[in-house]
Amino acid sequence: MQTVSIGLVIGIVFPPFLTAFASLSGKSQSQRSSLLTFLASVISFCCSLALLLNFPKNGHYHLNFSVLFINIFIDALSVYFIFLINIVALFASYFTKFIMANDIEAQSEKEHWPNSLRLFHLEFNLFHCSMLLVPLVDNLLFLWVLIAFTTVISAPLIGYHRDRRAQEAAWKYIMISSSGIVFALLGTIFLLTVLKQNVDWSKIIHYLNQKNVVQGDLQGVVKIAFLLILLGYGTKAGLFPMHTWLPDGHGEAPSPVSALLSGVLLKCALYVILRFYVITNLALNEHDFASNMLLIFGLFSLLMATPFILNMKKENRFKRVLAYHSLEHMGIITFGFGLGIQVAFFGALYQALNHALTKALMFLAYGRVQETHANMGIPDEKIRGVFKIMPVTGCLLVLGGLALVGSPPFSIFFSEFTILFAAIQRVATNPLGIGVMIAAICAFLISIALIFAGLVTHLGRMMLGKSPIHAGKVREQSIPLLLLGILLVVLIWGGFTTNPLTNILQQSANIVYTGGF
Amino acid sequence: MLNGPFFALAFALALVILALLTAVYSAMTNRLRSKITSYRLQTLALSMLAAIEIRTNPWFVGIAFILVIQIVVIARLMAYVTNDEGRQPGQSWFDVKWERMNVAKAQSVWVEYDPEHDPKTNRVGLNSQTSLIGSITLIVVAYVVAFSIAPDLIGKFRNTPIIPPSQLTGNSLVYSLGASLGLLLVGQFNMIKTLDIRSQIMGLLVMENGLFLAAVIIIEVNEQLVPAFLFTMIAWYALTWVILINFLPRVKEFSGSIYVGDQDTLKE
Repeated sequence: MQTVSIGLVIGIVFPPFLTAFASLSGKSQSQRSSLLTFLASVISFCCSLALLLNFPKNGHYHLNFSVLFINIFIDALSVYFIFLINIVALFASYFTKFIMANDIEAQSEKEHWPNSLRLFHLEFNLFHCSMLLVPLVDNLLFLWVLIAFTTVISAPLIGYHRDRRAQEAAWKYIMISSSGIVFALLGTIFLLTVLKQNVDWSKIIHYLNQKNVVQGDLQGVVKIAFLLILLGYGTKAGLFPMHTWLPDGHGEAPSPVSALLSGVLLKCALYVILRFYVITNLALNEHDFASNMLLIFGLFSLLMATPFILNMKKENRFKRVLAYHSLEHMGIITFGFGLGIQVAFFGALYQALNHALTKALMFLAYGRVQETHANMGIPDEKIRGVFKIMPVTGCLLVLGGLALVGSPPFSIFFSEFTILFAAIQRVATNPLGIGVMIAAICAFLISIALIFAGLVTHLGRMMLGKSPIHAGKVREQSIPLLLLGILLVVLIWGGFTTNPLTNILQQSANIVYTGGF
Repeated sequence: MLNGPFFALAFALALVILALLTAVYSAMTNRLRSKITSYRLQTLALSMLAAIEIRTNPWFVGIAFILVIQIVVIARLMAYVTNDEGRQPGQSWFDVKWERMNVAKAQSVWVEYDPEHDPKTNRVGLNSQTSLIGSITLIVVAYVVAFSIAPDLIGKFRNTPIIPPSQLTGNSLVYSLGASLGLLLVGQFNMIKTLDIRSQIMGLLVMENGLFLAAVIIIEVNEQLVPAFLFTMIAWYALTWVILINFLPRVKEFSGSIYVGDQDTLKE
């Protein structure tokens, strides 16, 4: 089984890595590069699916690579996040084709960017590959290096459109992320200092699980370390108060990149926070401190997102609204983890996948609408009457929007309801007190209701009204619609059952709760 | 850190103080040249600190080497992002890039942005006195935090200290921990208060130096972590170089300005 798992890991990581460099060779051909990127994603996805379906109950793989002191450790949580990354990348990679086709015309005007297409595929695949490595590596410092690398490699993707807004967004993203992540490294250093252990998280958790808790007077250092880590990686996870890069970054990037950023990159940072959450809980021998911090950060993120989603000004373009939805959902997920019980972990982990899929559907569908209008010289803020000119894409967008705000029967309703159920269960036992928990649940419900109203208004304005395109219906391509349709079916399926992920979700929730050893 | 003969300790402490003073000066000044000079001085101090530590762990050779490289290349990198690329007929690619790294040429541009030449530099943000007070306050905050953490680490209230006991470890740990946090906070302050995107990078680099000081503590605790930390440092410098070479010229090209205040197209 160990050999099979090595083969699958190679199958997961290497296709995007090799495609990254393959796209540099030969002439800059949009179709060929996109096809290669898509094929790499398909192979990687199939391998991750095989790993997920064959993963033994309560098992883990430990692969040692002596080069650069890096080990690979795979448990159920890693497998779940690899699957999450790959399923979004699978859909996003197909849609790179349309973004490219759109930009070739723009490139001919600006000949001083002749390599941008090849570079796009290089960066896209390396971005995908670096995110895949995050759940695989065992070394906490190398984990930091990987998260820093995702910043470097995704910033040019955000600044892909050669205009002022995109460059500004890329600049903000890279400055905020890199200054935030410094604190994460400092927190890691503090934690490693106190634990006096190897840098591998699996070994640290194994050591702590043998009742080697940090003694009373050192607990303060562990707490400060966790706060710094939460602040640092929270910047990448789009958590309040370091979320300010999010609307700019997601809003200006090409749609497949926005789907990856919102669906996957935030979750990668969340994965790292979860590993530190487990370590902190075991080190302190209690769940309360780290859980309460997550609860507070999560709730504030959710509350902060609400007024921005309700903002109906013209400047608040639809992609920015979707980005604020990422802030909202990351808030909900973090709130779920902050509840500190296994049911909530189950719901929060499931919410992470559902949000990634729904956001992919929204960004990719809106990307098609945006491209159609951009080709006719209509800016984002003037898009109206989408139902009339692109009825199928419009329907998908509306259904995706309903899924995003947590309407039944979509999967987000299921996971949000689980989190809410867990929150109500925790009212009496939460250390913050009954009053605070009831207030938090009320704030949670009010925010979700307001956000529902906000998104429906935004969608209504865009779908209805008089279209600026007078030519009538635009021809919609069938394959992208089919792919988006599949995504929608998956979302509806997920609203009724968590199969075939139930086992892996339960194991992952258990890992977050106990450390898994 | 710093345990050993008295002179080595005094020298190391002087270097830490120098690092803090250069950070404060960097936060005070609005001149890019001064920021670069103070950063180079600070990095020199830290590389000497790394050189002192070589006797405890040979991996410090690598860390000192990286810091020296940074001292050498930083001015050239800043010149690269300041100068425009002008290709003459028959000039090779290497010559064009080398010409672009001409520091003397870039200095004439940096002077134009000095407060006495460009009123824009002074239009918002904090003046030198406020910056001085701000950065000193942050260093005091850093030391208060360090003093509250360090007694736990050195085992003042414990039977088994986490840091190996040595005659001077206790105090020196507090100094380096405080200095490390201080550099991080002042670097962040520098990034927030600064008005142009080139100077923002200098704040980021000061933060990196703060991390270096924090790493010295971890090395005292667990020597196995040194190589891993060395790779982390290399990754960090790669990140800042990519930001400098790739993004900074683009922002200037598309917005026509290097001022943070002019990057305002993405406001709600």
